[in-house]
Amino acid sequence: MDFAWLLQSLLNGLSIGSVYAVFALGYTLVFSILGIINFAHGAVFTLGAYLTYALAVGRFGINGLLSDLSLPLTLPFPAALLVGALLSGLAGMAVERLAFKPLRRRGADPLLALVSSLGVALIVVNLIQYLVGAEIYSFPSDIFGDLPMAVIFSVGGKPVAVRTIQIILFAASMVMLAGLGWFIGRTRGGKALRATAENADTASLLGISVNRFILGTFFISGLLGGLSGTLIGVSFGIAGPYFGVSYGLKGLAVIVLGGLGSIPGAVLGGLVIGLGEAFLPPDMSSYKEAVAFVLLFAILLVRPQGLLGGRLEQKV
Amino acid sequence: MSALLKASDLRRSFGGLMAVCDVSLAVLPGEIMGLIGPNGAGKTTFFNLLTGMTRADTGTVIFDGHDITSAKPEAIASLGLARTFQNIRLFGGLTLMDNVRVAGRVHARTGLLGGILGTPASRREDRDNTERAYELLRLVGLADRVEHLAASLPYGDRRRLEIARALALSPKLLLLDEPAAGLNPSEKLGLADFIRDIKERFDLTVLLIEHNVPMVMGLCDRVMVLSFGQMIAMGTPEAVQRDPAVIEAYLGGDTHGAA
Amino acid sequence: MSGFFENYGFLIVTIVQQALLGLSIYFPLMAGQLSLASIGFYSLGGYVAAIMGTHPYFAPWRAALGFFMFPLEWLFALILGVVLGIAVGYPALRLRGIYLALATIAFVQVVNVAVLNMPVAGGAVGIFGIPQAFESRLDYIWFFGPLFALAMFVVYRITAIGRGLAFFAVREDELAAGAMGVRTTANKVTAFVLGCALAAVTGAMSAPFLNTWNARQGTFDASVTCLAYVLIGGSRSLWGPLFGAALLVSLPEVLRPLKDSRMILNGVVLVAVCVYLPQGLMGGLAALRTRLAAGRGGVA
Repeated sequence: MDFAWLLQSLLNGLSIGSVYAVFALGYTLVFSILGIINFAHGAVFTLGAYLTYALAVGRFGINGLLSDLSLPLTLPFPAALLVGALLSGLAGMAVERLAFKPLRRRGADPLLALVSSLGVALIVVNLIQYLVGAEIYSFPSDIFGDLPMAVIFSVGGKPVAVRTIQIILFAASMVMLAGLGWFIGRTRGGKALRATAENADTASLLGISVNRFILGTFFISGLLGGLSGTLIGVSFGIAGPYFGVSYGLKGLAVIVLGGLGSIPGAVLGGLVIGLGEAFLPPDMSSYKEAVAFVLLFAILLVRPQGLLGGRLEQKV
Repeated sequence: MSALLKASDLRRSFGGLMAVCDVSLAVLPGEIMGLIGPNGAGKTTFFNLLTGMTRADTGTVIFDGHDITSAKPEAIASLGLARTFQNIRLFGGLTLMDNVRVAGRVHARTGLLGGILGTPASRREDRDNTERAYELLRLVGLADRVEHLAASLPYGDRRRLEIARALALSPKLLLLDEPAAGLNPSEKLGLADFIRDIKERFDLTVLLIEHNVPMVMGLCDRVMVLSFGQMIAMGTPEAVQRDPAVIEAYLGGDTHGAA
Repeated sequence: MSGFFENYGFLIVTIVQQALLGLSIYFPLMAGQLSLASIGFYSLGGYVAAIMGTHPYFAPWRAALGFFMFPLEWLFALILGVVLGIAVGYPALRLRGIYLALATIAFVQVVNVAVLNMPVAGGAVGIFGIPQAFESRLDYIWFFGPLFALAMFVVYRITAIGRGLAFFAVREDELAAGAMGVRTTANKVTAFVLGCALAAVTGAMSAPFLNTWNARQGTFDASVTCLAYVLIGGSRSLWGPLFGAALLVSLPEVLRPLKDSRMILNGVVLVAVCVYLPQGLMGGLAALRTRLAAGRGGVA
């Protein structure tokens, strides 16, 4: 185990972990106001990646219904990323309207909401598969213009590579986290969001239109999901419509690890899991996909409220 | 006479708010004790601490010779400490009969396998439990609706069902959390007699939270007053009623509770 | 004509097999616990049978036991299901709420990664050429049928006996159940482990039935599909899982053009059931019957 490897793993872990954090925050925002896990979040993640791909590249491959179609114009990547994220935000709102609001109005069992959002996830993912096929899409390498693919420097005679996309991942995530922090801490909307999170009844007494804020929260959540989907897609390729599902499940591990409903917890959980995956010894790399879930079990055993969650108390 | 329930220096805070602050209490066998105090005084939290639904930060609870401070609710219930809930928590999707039968199995000896195989012992146990549940439902006046779903009951009947369910645990100590809330005046009158009646019949000790001052004064042997998590008075109803600290707590704070 | 029956019979066997998976989700639901673990136990149970059926290490066992190797495979799968079920369920079920759903999702993922990495499980290719118990696949009804009958009997008895009330009490109100002396964690774990064991044995029976076994048997999709059987059929009716499985397994067969979009259909059905028919089809039918009866008996 040498220093170069440690440094490389640290870089890899921080960049991917920061995206996990952004993605997981989408779950956390919804959970903190509704106390419900939105299982469609992983599907929105997929959707975001495909939307950005469509906007930036203009056409899909040979399978699926849309194989012969192409967009009349394409956007430069940063614009496609932004538009893709905004559209994902709208998709998040649609999820709320479709899967959550009808149940909330009836005061249904929260487990039902979980299932209906699973249903929406199935629809979205399989619809994508139906439309564009199951093949892997990689973003073309020229989307960053003249930027080099990676910068390689030497540590103790060994190479350490910093890929451009890693820097973009980290920077974009930090921008999103800072923006979200500002929104929640400083703006009227953010305060309302916190009030709703504390108590929906109080919030509605205070004159906050609860439904509108829930919708707004789903928009932000969808935006975070779509954005992180694109970032992961650019980094590793879009590995078929189901790739969001596995990231979606990993995101659940992130929020349990950090503490359900805790915003700093989601960030910490994302970084811990990203670093955990990166620091896995090379001969165990085939177990990478299990790291998040093993950590989830471990935390349930020793500290079920998560790293930063408060004491678990029931309401009597 | 040694106390049936002895709480010592119980304390619990939520966030920065001290819900129950170093409260000590000894309930004697056979007495009916009232627990009063303005809204938000920590009465229900105190009940939750006694029944294991909320963990105490510090302090101990001894019930019938057992330290139950950090015991689970089900262990406490099986020792003979039963409760009702302020906001009534019935098993809405189960029948009245089944609501009571759940609690009646607290000392059941036959398990799942015996039940599935239908062993004679388990069949006998189920039969006895059903008979006893029917008796309890008859006692609270709900025998005509044993197969109705609990969720279909009107409010006053739910309170009675909840008491029948608690009695099915064969408790030594019964905690009643605002049993008169939401009842009409004639139901309230009947309730005091009913509590006295079940106390005699089942040899109970009763600790009840109540806002209805006349009822507390008429029913209770002793009364304890909580305000902002602290015990400010304890004694006979007459003594407590004259206590300046109590008058101050009710008049100075939230007057709703004294009404 | 015989070809038609061949198809039709296979469909029925598949429906019963899938209904078993539905029932394995129904057990924890009786105690109000949503588990998505079934497919992971199904996958593991299948691997137990596949390995015991093909691995050279077990050759002497197979030679000695003959057909009775199959029940032994079920037994091993059952033990694995119970032990792992407790290990997975206990940490999650001490907690209230959605932790079980999350832990079981994690379990399914870990199982998938693990079997892909275990040489004995054949990696991504899996295990094939699993010895058959019967000449015809239709005969596997002699495996699945009795297991289904047994599972239904257990469910039925649980709904009929006093001991079963503890499950329903936990489902209705966990906190009040605890206050009424019900050991909530123990009951949740029991209900969950019953489901795990059933899924594992179903898997052990399915490996010879399907002839090959690989990691694709245990995907997240498949576990959602099992959940769909129960919810569509009705999560509070013991016939619900069978009804739901029959509907979702046969629908794509009947409507061939839908085959490609089968999962989309599953999704639409899930959402529609949650929103419009929370009691499932069986619950909906019961409500309809009540209404009709009331309509006939009541005044105009």
